[in-house]
Amino acid sequence: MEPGITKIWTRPEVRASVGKLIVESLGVDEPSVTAEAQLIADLGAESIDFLDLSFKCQQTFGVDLPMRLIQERRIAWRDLSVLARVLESRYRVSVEAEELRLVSPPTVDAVLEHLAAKRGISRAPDDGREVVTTLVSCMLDDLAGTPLDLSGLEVDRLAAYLEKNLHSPEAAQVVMSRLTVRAIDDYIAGKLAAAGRLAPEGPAA
Amino acid sequence: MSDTTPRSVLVTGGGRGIGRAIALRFAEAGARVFVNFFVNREAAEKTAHDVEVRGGVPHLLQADLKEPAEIKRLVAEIKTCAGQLDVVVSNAASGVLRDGLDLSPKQWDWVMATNTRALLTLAQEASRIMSSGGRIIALSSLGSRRVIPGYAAIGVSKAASSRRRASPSTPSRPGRWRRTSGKRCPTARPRSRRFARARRAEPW
Repeated sequence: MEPGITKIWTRPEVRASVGKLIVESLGVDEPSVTAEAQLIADLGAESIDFLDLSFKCQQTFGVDLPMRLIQERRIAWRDLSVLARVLESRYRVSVEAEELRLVSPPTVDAVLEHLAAKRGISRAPDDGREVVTTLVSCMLDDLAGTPLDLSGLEVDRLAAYLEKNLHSPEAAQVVMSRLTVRAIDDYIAGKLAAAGRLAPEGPAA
Repeated sequence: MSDTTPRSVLVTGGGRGIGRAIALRFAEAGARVFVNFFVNREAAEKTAHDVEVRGGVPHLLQADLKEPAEIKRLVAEIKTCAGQLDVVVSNAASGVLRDGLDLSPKQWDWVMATNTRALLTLAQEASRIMSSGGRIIALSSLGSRRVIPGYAAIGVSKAASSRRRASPSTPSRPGRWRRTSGKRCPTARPRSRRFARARRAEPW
């Protein structure tokens, strides 16, 4: 019932198995599954594929691939719940995400203007930029522990997109472009290592 | 549930939501509850724990119900563990929220295999080990009768499952069909709001 739960894996075995599971789950050709291939943009993965992939990872490695966490986080961004949290803490006002979603256009400036008019918050000239920066850092914090490789992410580009449009599809793409074959491979290997089920690397061949 | 004999119950998709509530209710009656889940192990483990706390005997079974071989394995494991089944609650469902014109064949097949074929395969397999008077209960949905935006595949899959009741089991199999319908007992789930929001977004 718990396959893969006791096996000690080598690094090359993990890499090969992750590639195989991606081929099976996404129905793509093996040569397209390169280390840097992005699951969504390059391999056309969608939500149902991630369910399959998560299941197969649990069955094969005994390791959960928490794709649903990424999905939940993204729903919270789209909801503007994360923005509501940022504004509450910055301006000490109670803000409902529903209220923010009614603001048009969906920009930080318009939201701050709305709060100034309705709640009497006082704004400094650079507030918009600072709110977006905090928003981005909260969003990225929320993604820690998921299979996304966020190292070296272009935070400024992300902030620029969100400043113009809180629902920016480009911003979502920047984040999801970090879901690569290598990121999943590294995630699984990291979890196996933490559980003491990854064989130490031998001398370089 | 006044009978004091412990019942053996399978709840598919029993880790969370309505399936979890059903599993816990059976637990309160002292049943042996097989909690099937697909990917959310954390939620399923919590449900198994709560089943035990409420007086039931929990068993966790991970399976991908859109694969007939997985259903066979699931039922075989139950047979090994408990010998027989008294109640099957076919609750697990998955979906792709899209209008019909936007659905891909893959998405359609996924929903039909998970929500509709799984019930058939499950009934075929489970009936082999069901006790006399055992029950197979399938959950339906408001979407099986009404037009709900984005429910092109899910609604059809649920309507098909509801219709399955019209083909009862043969006399040689003791299990019987019983359908529940959201029509009579709609649920107010925060999830439906989440779905509505998710639908507005990009495919993934």
